[in-house]
Amino acid sequence: MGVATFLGRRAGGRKASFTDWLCYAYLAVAFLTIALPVVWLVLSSFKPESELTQYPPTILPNAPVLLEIEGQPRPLPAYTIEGREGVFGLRAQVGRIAVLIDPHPPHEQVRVEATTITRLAEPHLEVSNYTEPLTARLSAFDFPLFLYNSAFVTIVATILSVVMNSMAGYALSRYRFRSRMGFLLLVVFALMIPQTVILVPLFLVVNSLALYDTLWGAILPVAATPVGIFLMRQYMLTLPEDLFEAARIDGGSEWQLFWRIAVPLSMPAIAVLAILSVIWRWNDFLWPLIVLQRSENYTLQLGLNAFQGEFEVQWHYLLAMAVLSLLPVTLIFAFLQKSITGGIATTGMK
Amino acid sequence: MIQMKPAGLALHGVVKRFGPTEVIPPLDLVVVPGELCVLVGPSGCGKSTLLRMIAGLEEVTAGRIEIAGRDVTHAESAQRGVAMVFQSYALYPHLTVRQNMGFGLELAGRPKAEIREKVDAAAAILRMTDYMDRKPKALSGGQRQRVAIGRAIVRQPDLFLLDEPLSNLDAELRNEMRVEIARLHKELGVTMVYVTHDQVEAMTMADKIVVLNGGRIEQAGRPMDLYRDPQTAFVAGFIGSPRMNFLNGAALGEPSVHTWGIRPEHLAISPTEGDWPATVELVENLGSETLVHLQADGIGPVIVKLGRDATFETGGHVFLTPDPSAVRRFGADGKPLRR
Repeated sequence: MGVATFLGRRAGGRKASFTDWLCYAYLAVAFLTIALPVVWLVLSSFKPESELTQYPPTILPNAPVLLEIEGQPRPLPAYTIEGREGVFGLRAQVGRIAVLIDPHPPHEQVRVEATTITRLAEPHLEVSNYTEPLTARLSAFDFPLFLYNSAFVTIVATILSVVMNSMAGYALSRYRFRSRMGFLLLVVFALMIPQTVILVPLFLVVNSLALYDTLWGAILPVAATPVGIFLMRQYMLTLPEDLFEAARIDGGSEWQLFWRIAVPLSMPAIAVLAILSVIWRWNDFLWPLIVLQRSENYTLQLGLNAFQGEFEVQWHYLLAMAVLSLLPVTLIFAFLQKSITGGIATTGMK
Repeated sequence: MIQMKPAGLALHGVVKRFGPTEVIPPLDLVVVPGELCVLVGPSGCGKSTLLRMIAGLEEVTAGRIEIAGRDVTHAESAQRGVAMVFQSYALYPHLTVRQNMGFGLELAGRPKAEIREKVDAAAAILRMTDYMDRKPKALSGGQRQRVAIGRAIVRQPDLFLLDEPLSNLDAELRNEMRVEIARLHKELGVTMVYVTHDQVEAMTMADKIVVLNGGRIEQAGRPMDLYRDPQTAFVAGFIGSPRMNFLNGAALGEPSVHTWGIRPEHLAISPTEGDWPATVELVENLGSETLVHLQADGIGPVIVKLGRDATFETGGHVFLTPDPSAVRRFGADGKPLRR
């Protein structure tokens, strides 16, 4: 399918109907709502520090044109003045008065109203926003370590989450046992409780298990999630019972029924769960913030916090590293998305 | 090569209850080795439950099940030496035909070469050799059915269980597969228990038909015995197509007879003379035979089957004459009355 046909798809019929227009309008609004902040973040991450605070804000990453002027200790930003030929370097701006210097000898000094001057800028990508935090080991930001911590927490938690949730979902969907409904209700109730409510008891449990300030403390409490159990149970309920009975007659053990039949057929749900888990764990901030103390245990999201000091925020680094921290989730989503749409199982049944 | 050792099956006083409802009252049944036994009955008569109990998929409330002389009442499905073909085929959608057929042997940890050999042999018997690397969804209904049967053959079971295996196929394919299964039964010489609600399948395939009604065996025996000599009105009505005409004995001047039965093929039809005057309501011409639906005056609706092409005018008046030797009379308890 070409891009044009893909974007021009209709609900049916030869001409686009009212609902098609409505649908596309809604999609466009949703797309812009979601995409614009990300685009703005990426563009801003390439701006020099001074440019980020510029008012009015610029859209594309620019850098001020600088003039080397004899007699001045440092290069001055270039400005034009309304009604005058040539370019001037801005030496100072006090209130509404701007002091500019002519770069050509005899370096005449000009005092004008600040509203009459216009800054000169040129397109510029400030790559150092990225390279400096990555190479220079800025005081509190050890990118490779934080990346490793984040990856460790995300991968291990996702694997555990997929294994535990699918096993729980299998049991709740396939086995008839007393209090089966009771367990399910517990899970559903747990769905309704926000994490912030259980932070304190959770912390006490983690602390008494000596998991405080360890990566496992950030992993284990979130490995089995009510959402995951519920998701897996609902999906596994749709698998035909006949398949399991056939496998039972074929001599399958309980474990083989789960591993050879239920898991492969639940791949679409497992993919969804894995994607959700990766996104949740990678972006998780609150729980790691509470349970991880030393900076060598920090995940990337906690590390980003290091750019926010008490008195100043290093926005240029923060934005650049935020872009980097978005990349893995984006890539994984793009990669796993195929297995959701393409992996829907047909059972060979009518 | 695929070799089977046909096993006998015996049910002794088998009972099934779901909570307080008794689905199957104490039931006894013997299937001799090599027999194709068809369990037939209307839906909800307990035939599938009975089959699932034999397969070990359903607990037996009371009684004993023996396969090949061994008590398997409480044995796991896999330990019973049975293979089952499901109505839905129950093929594993994520596995190829080859993997589907070899799944049981693979789970049993048999060597790869042996699995391959047995799967190939089964595929040859079923003429599925060209489709071995396909997934079930790429197969037609008949092919899926074959794979399901192949999966059963590969395991070389003592006993084949088939749960309405043809009900998902269209009419033509159903006839074809019916012949196929009958052929397999002859070739492999296995014992089969076959569940269906279709009396045509039962009549054409069975060595022994077991007619079930409300969990009880109404009658068990060879197909033609059931046809000729039904032991209950239910069997008389269930076996044979179109079903036997049941008429009110009192209306025919025999008040002691509760149900007076005559098969559609045992009624003669004549435009001029006969025992019962009747009005033609509908004529179904099937080419080789003709079904005439009539309203017999003072008696009720009657169907007559003629083994030929015939023309009748709807609304026309004719006369019917039953063949006295073919009349079946049943009492109020559904049992035949001997005279």
